[in-house]
Formats: sequence, structure tokens, C-alpha cells
Amino acid sequence: MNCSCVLDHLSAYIDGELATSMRDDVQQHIDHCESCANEVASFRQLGELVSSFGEPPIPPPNWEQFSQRVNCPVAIATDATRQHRPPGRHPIVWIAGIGALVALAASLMLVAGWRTPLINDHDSMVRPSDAVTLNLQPVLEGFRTATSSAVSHLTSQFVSQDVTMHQAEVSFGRPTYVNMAAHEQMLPGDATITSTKLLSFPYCNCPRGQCTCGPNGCNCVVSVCERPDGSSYLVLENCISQPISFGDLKVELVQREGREVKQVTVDGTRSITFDRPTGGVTVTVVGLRDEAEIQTLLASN
Amino acid sequence: MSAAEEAIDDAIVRRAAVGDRDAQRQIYEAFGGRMYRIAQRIVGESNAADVVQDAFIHVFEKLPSFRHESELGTWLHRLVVNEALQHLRRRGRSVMRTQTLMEHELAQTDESTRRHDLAEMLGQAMRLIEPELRLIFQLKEVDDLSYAQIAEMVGIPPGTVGSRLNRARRDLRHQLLNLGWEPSR
Repeated sequence: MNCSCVLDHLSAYIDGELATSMRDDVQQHIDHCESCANEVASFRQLGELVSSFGEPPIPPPNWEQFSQRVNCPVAIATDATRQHRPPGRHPIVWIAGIGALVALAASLMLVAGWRTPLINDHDSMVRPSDAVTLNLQPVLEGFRTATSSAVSHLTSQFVSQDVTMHQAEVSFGRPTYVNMAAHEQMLPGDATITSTKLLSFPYCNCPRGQCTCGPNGCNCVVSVCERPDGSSYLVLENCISQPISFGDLKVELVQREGREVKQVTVDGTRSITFDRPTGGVTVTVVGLRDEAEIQTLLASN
Repeated sequence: MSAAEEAIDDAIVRRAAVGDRDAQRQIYEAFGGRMYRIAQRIVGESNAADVVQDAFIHVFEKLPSFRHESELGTWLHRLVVNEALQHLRRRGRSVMRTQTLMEHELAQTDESTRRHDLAEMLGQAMRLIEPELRLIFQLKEVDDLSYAQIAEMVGIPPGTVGSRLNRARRDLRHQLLNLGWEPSR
């Protein structure tokens, strides 16, 4: 056994992870090789050094804080229902207590911060003839030029804000499909999420307070995912009550991975839309390259 | 495994999977500390709590698909490792600020300047190595986990744990030597 082979197995040797015969071979080499013996001593010294210091104390898990965060929709339900009840007498407020009030305050701040421009911008905006259907044809056509063109089409049409994925998920009221796929390392094309925007959809037909896509109203999360070669695709996630269409483009309805998927191909680039298995959300991906990427996407979550 | 972790049985997991908040709370409180430690090692003290909360949101959404093929604790560890690494990718590793092993000891080590300096040096060197390598190194040297346990927790093939530890140890030694560490002879 030469030095190179021994050095490859050095950690496994000092950690006691080698099979007996291999361990004996390494030991025999080290007994006669000063250089490798020094390496072993050096590795062991690092372990002793690290072990001689402790780690910072762990704070106890704070369920109330976590619960408050995931309970945001409850706080909004309180807000919506409060219109019909005298202030201060709403049962949910009493039950939820101070924590829910804090969550409510935070939610109201978000509503104030993000919905106010909506009122200004969209009251004056000319509604499309089909007020509730979002036509994605211009997005797909813009994508042929550049991903940014496709995004621009959406951001010019709706109030939008650059957000972190964490902010997006809080406003969306649930983990996003794209982030879960990223966690599972199932984003097509080994892509990573490079930007996330939150769009407010004013024409969603959810009953007030019952949006499935966010405590703060009907939101859409738009994520840009970039492949290692620099190419990218878009992932849109929106409330199921916000219908979308692909305009005049030819749409195929297919069954894939046990779910109904609408598929559009423009210049060889594929876009698909499907409802998330957990319900409530429609996922649309614009700019997939091939069948393999589609399969990867649908296999996640 | 702590008593609280051992108390989490299949019935609690099933209840949590269908949205039972009491069951979810038991899981959160039983495993939250360990998950915090993992997150802290990867993203540092200031971001660990957020990462753990993000991870638990995914945990409770994905719990219905938990197949009991691995231990719940191991499955949770993998989720928090993925969440923490994803957090770093989102933020950019260059802005990472971690408190790893020993910064908290700095205030407690006035009695020994040498130990104080060594703690500072080690903390800085640990911050300079790749987060995943740092985690694997700590899982071995601090927690004394087996390669199989580390592989399952981090989500890498068991055969690569040794080579990653080789890299971690060499990188850490390199950083320490650059900072003026003098190994004992």
C-alpha cells in the first residue's frame, strides 16, 4: 500500500471505519512511513482541539413562536370576520390571545404595506375583458426573448415585490412547490432559485378571507430558477381560484405522474401547469427543456 | 436519543401528519433542540432559529409522506440540513456569519489568554471551511456519529463520508496554520 492510498483512507482509519484487513494494511504502512504517521497525528490533534471546546447552548424550542408564524391565516380570518362582530368580542381573538394579536398586527402591517398600492394602481387599471383569467401567452412569448421579459410582463401587470423565499412563503401561507423541490434537490436541470417575487392578484375570485394562497389576499409567487449553464425557467404558483390560460397557444391535456397536466410547447420550449397535490395552488412552469425536466419536476413534492 | 425523542411513537407521528397540533408540538419540542444545533453549525447562531422554523413548516407538510424507512430523527435532520444549505445558497455563502464551536466561550476564558486566542483562532478557521464539510466534521468529532449515521443525516453516499472528512480535516488544518496555529510536536 502506497502513501496516496493510505492518505485516501486516513479519516476512515482514525475513525475506526475500515475493515480489519484494510486497517492492518494502513497500520503497517504508517509504522514505517513518518510522513503518513505525522498526518495521522495531525488529524487526531485537530479532533482533540475541537473536542476541548464546547458548543454554544441550545435555546429551548419555542412552539408558541413557531405556532404564531404558521397561524397567520387564523389571524386573518379573525380580521375578516371582525366586520360582523363587535370589536374585542371575537372568540378567536380571545382564544388565540396575545400571540394571535401580534400575528394579526404583523399581518395587518403586511396588508397595509403590500395591498395599499393595489388599491391605487388597480382601481385605475382597465380590467381585461375576462376579469378573472390570467392569460400567460405573452409571458411564454416574452420568454422566447429573455426570462426577464417574461417576468417583466407579469410585474408590469400586477403589483409586485422582490422578496426572500421566506417572505414569499409567509405571505403565500404555505411552503412553495419550488422551494420544496429545491429542498428535495428535485429542481429540473439542477437549477437553483435565483430570485423570488410576490405578485398580488386582484382578480382572484376567492371569497374574502378564504384565499388558499395567502393570509394577505390572493398572492402569486414567481421564482426564477437558473441552471448551471446560465439558462433559466420560471415557476409561478398562484391560488387555484385565479384561473390561467395560454391564450391562442395549443394546449395538450395529458396525464403525468398521476396528475392532470396542461402542456404547451413554443419553439421547442415546454411549459406546463398543474394543480398541486395538496390542493389550493396551481403551479405553472415556463421554459422547461425536455421530457426529463418535466418528469423531474412532477416527481418532486 | 433523549427521553422526549423516544416518546415520539408512530401514533404521534400519524396524528401530527393529519394536522393534530398537540402531536406536532410534541415533535417540535422533542427534536427542535437537535435541529437547532445542526442549523447552528451550518448557518450560525443568528439564522439558526429561522432555519429550524422553515424546516418544521416543511416537516409538517411532508409528514404524510414519511414512510418510516428511516428513523424520524434522521429524516428530520436531513430536512434541516437541506433547509440550512438552501438558506446559504439563497443568502450567498460570502455573507455567512456563523458562531461555531467556541465563540461563546470567549467571555468565559479570561483566565487563560492562550486558550482564549486558541478559541478565537479555531472559531475563525471553522468559519472558513465549507459549511457541509464543517457539519460533517462536527458530527464526527463532537457527536461521534458513525459514517453510516452521518451519511444518512447529511444525505450523501456512505462511501463519501471518509473523503469529505479528509477534506474537512485538511482544510481546517490549513486555515488554522494560516492563522498562526502551532501544532504540538
